[in-house]
Amino acid sequence: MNPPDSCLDAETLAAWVDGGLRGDEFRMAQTHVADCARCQALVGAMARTEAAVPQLEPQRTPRRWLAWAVPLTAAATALVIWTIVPRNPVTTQPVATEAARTASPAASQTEIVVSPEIIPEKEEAAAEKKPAAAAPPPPAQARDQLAEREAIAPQQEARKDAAAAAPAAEPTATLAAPAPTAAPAPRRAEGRAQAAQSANIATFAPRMQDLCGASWTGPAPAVTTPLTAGTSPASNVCWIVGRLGVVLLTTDGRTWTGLMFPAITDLSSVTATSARNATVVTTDGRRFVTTDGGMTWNSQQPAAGSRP
Amino acid sequence: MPADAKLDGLHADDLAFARACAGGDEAAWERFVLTYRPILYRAADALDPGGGARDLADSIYGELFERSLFRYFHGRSSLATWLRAVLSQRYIDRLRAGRRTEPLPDEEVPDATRTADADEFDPGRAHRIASLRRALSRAVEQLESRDRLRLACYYAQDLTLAQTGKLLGEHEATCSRQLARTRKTLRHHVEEQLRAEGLDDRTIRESAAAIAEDSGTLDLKQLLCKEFPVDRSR
Repeated sequence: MNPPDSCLDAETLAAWVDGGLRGDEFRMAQTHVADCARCQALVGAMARTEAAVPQLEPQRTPRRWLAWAVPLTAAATALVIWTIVPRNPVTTQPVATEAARTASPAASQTEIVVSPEIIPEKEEAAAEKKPAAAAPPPPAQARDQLAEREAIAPQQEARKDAAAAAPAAEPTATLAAPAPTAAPAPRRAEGRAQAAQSANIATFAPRMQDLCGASWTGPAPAVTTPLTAGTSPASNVCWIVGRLGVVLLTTDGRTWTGLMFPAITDLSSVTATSARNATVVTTDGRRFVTTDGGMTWNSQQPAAGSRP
Repeated sequence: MPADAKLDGLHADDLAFARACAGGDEAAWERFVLTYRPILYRAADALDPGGGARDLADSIYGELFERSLFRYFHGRSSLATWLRAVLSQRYIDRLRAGRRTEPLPDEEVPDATRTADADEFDPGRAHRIASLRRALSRAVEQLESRDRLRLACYYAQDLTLAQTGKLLGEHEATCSRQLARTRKTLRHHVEEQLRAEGLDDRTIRESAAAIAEDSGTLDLKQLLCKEFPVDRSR
């Protein structure tokens, strides 16, 4: 507990904001902040950051008498979800037509239906801006990602096979925009896991402004793969990259196109100068450059001594 | 505070997660990078849209990576809120430290005797503003600390009614009513003090009208932001 004369420490301030101060501690904090310009400024700063940060979890409330309602509500919600969630989770339907695929050189691309409801998770768009010198990337992250890719790869292969068998869902892009009509029906448990993953992603949804710049007003691409970075070299043009080799491009600010990327690996950043020229960096440090809007990619070796 | 009350407010999941990060758990750290680092940077951008707080976010992220900062998180709030609090604290302290060495023009305490252009045509105006400033300052001091905090949050820090109410543990409608009551109280105290200085009701009304039209150097925000001596009797 803070002494009455001392300013609030970060922990007390955070507890106050989250409704975790009670009794004397609550009163002492109020009394102090009422007379302290610094702490008032702190409270104001906290309020400003609140608007910018999505809630990761429901705020706790001091109403302890409502505690009994929580498990009851959770049970009721679980029952409702169990009842109404379909066995085949509805996903976005790719709309690449046969004519478009044959007539256009972009035969290896999948056009993504725009859906503002689903906004995938991403790492901070400005993650390229490294932290202080003493903060290298997290240890052995690549190993975890490799394990995860190994776990996901069979599903993707199955998905590709199923997609190849269905004419309407032929695109070969590695996007997480599955072909629902052709994919084998997942078991109920898998469906729930996917639904939970989607909900989780939506909860942690980055804003499109984080990916494509503060002035971006277009909708988000309807993919479930976590997105990690983006850049907008011109108005209505935005490149977004994500995990498992997902590269998305829009040139009209509304319709997103999934591009074929030469490696199924997690992508960490993208820089672009136009709708045709972009450089994508993978989490293991490889660089891929395109000069034709993602139709072809050239691999570049990382500079000697560079850190992945 | 009773132990069960502390446990009731404990964010055990976040505490366990922070401990896992501090202990070098790679999966936990990966989740931190994907979920919490963006929060840190968004909060920095919210504090300074020009990017001036990003270096503080970098610094905090560096300390978290070295695991030295996690030990100060004890689960009394969510980890996200705690990160915002740490960042806000460092940002405000740096801002205040900078202002101490380099006072900004708007931070200078207005001199009540200084006359603006309008005052030069009305010598009595400067005197009335000085009287009002003294009276208002005393009236603010006389308020209960809770009322003063509500005023400061709403008028000086530009918090919304909902945000102000949340901090004070009251509904925003209650907060609105309390603000209206406090404004009445302030006005009552100010008028009382002006009468005590010998001003009649007509002069007080005219002064109030003139100040409402052009407050000049009189700023409630500055009065609310000034440090008041802590009254332990409250």
